[in-house]
Parts: sequence; C-alpha cells; structure tokens
Amino acid sequence: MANSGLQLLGYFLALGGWVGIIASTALPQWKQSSYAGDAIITAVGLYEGLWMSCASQSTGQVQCKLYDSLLALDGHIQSARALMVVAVLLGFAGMVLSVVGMKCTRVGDSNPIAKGRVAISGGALFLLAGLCTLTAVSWYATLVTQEFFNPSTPVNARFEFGPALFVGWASAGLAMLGGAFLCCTCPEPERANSSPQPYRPGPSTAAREPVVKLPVSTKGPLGV
Amino acid sequence: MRDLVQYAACFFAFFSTGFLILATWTDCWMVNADDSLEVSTKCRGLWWECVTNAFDGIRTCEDYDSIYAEHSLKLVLTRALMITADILAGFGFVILLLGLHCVKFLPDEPYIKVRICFVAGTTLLIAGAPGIIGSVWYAVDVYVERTSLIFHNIFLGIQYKFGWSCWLGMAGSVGCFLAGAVLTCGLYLFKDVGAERSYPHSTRKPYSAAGVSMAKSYLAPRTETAKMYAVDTRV
Repeated sequence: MANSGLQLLGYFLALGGWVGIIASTALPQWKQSSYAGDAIITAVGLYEGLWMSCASQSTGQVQCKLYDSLLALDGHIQSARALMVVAVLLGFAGMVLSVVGMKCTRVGDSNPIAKGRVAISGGALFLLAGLCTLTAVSWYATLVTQEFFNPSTPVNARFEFGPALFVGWASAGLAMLGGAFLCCTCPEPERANSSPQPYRPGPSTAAREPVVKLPVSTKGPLGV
Repeated sequence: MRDLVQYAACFFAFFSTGFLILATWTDCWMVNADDSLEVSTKCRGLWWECVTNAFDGIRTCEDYDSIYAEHSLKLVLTRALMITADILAGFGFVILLLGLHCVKFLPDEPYIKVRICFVAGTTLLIAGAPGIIGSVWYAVDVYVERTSLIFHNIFLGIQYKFGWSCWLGMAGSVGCFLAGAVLTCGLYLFKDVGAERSYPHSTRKPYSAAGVSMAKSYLAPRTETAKMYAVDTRV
C-alpha cells in the first residue's frame, strides 16, 4: 500500500501552497516602484496589485484605490486575475477531494481503488493550481522586467518585482510539490488492484472445471 | 449519531475559528455612525484605522503608534484577548480533527479518541470565553462612549458605533461555545453506551481491531443489535 505519511506530507505542503496562493492573489504588492536610479529620496512608494494600486507615504499612511473599471484594464492583469482565481478554486476542490481520498480518513474505505483514484485527482488538481499560479506570476514578472528594461520608460517611473510575486512563486512550488506527492502514491493502489486478480482466476477456474465437465458428460449421452 | 455530532462540531469549530481570526485582523471594530458630519467611511480596528473616501474610493490607512505608545486599556486588552481566543480556537480545531472518527489517528483506541474530542471541546469552550469578553467589552465600551456623549449633549462631529468586525468576533465566540458544548455534552450522552461496550471491546480486540471499531461505530446507538452482533461474531 502507498505510504500514508507521504500523502499527509503532500497534503500539508499543498495546503500551505493554497494559502499562499490566496495571499498572493489578495496582496497589492505585485510590482513596486524601483529605487534603482538616482531617485532614492522619495516621499511616496507606489505598489500595484491585481485589484488595487497603493501609495505608501513616508509618514506611515497607506492610500489604496481599487481599479475603477474592469473592462478598461490591461489584458495581462485581467488574465492574471483569472488564472489566480481559477488556481484558488482548483486548490479548494483539490483540498476537498484529497481529504476524501487520503488513506488517513475512513471515507470510502470499502473501495480502496476508487479512494486511491480520488486522491490522485486531488493531487492533479493541486498540480494544476500550482501551474496556473506559476503561469500568472511568471507572465506578470516577464512584463515587469520588459517594462523595466524598456529605454522609453522614465527612470523614476520604473517598477520592479514586489513581494507578492515571490509569495506566488513559493506557493506555486509548494502546491506542485504537494500535488506530486499526492499523485506519486498512485501506481501502488493500481498494482494492489491488479495483483489479486491473477490469483482469483485460479480457484475460480478450478471451481468451474466440474461445471464444464458436467455439460460434456450430459452432452455425451445426448450426442450418442 | 456520534459521527453526526462530531461533524457538526467540526463545522462550527472551523467557521468560528475563521471568524475569530478574521475579526482580529480586520479594521472595522468601530465605524462612524450615520449622524456624524463626515462623508467618508471611517473604520477603526485593533491595529490600524482606515478612511474610505465616499467620492473617489481612495482608502487611506494608518497604523497606530508603536506598541509601547500610550494606548487605551480597552484596545490593549481586546488585542490580548482576541489573540488568546485565536490561538486556543485553532488548537481546539486541530485537536478535534485528530479526534474525529473518520480520521485514522489511533484507530484501535475509540476511548482515547472520545477523550481527545472531549479535550477539544473543553479547549473550544475556553477559547470562546476571551473572545466573547473581548468583543462584547469593546462593543459595550463604544456604546457607552457614544451614549455618554449624547447624554452630555457634546457633539464632536464624529460618532462611532461598533462595526462588523465586532459582530464577527461575537459570532465566532458563540460558535466556539456551541461547538464546545456539543462536543462535551455529546460525549456525556454517549458515555453510558461506551461503558456498556467496554467488555466486548476488550475480548474482541484480538480478532480484528479495525473491523471491531468499525462495527462499534456503526452500531453505537443501538446497543441491542450491537450485543447480538457481538454474540454472532463470537459464535
């Protein structure tokens, strides 16, 4: 049987990843104003996220504003939003499914093969959620990098990676690792399924033999 | 039946823990009342206060001063009480998860599992106390402040009432109480059944521990059938 500890480890890794995905979706610091130039002394630091843009004053106040219009937003923000929300939903479904499928719960114990398959599908959902997050975060990071090195961007208006991107990368990695752990318990229930079956035909054919013989013996007189 | 009680308690414990943590970290413990002069929405929390402008939607937040600065006793104590409630409720929920019948933790020891549930219930009951004290105290204090201002006919331009974070805190603590009560009283209700079953349990244990515990759980409320079943298996 597959290792129950590996499943648990995978589940908790993936759970941490899911929480991280939610955090990075909600955080406003996807990109922050860069101090790479000579503009070190600034009174305002700017952040931009998926849902709002913020300005942090040197006096300690933080002003945030939600983006006004959904349809006027840049395509990459919209798609990053969509990918992150899909990742959160996939992670939720994976969480529920893998609780049902894991060996440490009693749900569906009578059918261990189906239970194993449920665990695998939960792991696959976690993998997908991690992939979605990775896509969204890396795409956003690529665009930020391109804009940073674009010579037409003014030096004072350059943005660089914010903390939410790193949170997103880390949580995508966790979710994918956890999903892989949940999935890599998969071949063993299959083998446990297939191995008893070669044994079972043995006694059943032996039991069938007299039944086969009987018609022969009855056929004999009939034929004769 | 016992499983149902456990699931209900688990549901309550999950949501009330979530509510308590949310209440601690959201900022609307005090909101400005409708009769104040400001047009913007002002929310004061335990850690920072935020003003949302009604016209352009810009939200400005400011942290309170450092933790060593002068704070009102109400604020400091509510913070402490809410954090205590969060930690206790979280522990209670995790312990309850270990004690749930459908989780294969110590599957051969149903009595220890029931005891774990009891401990989780007690923890949740204890967690509810600081939560309800903190949130109700905050709410009462805000209310008293407002009524005393109105009573003395002083109008400062802005008046506060308690906001949704306070309600979340109260709901979370009541949920904790409910889950704890269900767990502790549920255990009490099924304790006599457990005592009666102690003898067959000890004799049948060598045969198949998992099967016995499953059978016990399914037949827990019906002792008559459980006994018949025990006799059948022994024969």
